[in-house]
Amino acid sequence: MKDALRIQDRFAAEPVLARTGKGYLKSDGVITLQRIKAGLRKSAAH
Amino acid sequence: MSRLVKPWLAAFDWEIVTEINRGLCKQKNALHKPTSDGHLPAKTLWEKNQSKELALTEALEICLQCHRLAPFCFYNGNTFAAIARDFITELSPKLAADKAHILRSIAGHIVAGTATDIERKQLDYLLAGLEK
Repeated sequence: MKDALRIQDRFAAEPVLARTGKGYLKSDGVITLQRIKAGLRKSAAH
Repeated sequence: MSRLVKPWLAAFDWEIVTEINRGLCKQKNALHKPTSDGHLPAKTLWEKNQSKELALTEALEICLQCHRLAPFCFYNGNTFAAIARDFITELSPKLAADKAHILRSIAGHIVAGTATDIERKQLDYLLAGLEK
């Protein structure tokens, strides 16, 4: 449920896929992935 | 048997699916209500597959189909994407953190109906790596 709430604002409330046949999802960007990769590089360096 | 074939949806009976949607709607003060046309077909599809041994990609497709059927008035995409992201985290310990994030992200995109062909190929590549 925590993850569901965290990503909630990326979705449209309305049933867009059912109505239009096309899904909708707001981009999360690459910041999280960059942060994870930086963390991996950091731990590999130590 | 492949490690990636299992009853992926088993932990989520329809009452849990409904509760997730209820929680999401409550958070945004949106109406939590089943739809007249989509609820029964989605519930039937879900319950038919809930305890079935499914390939991971099949389980994601069931989530996408249920999203498309729109069993609830609001937040269908979020409901089924959250479920997919949840059951897929089981694979996370077998992957590097960045790959686990990518896997979760692609799963969410597939269920949201926004995955590209490149993302689907990337998913196949990640899953093939897990099956080795």
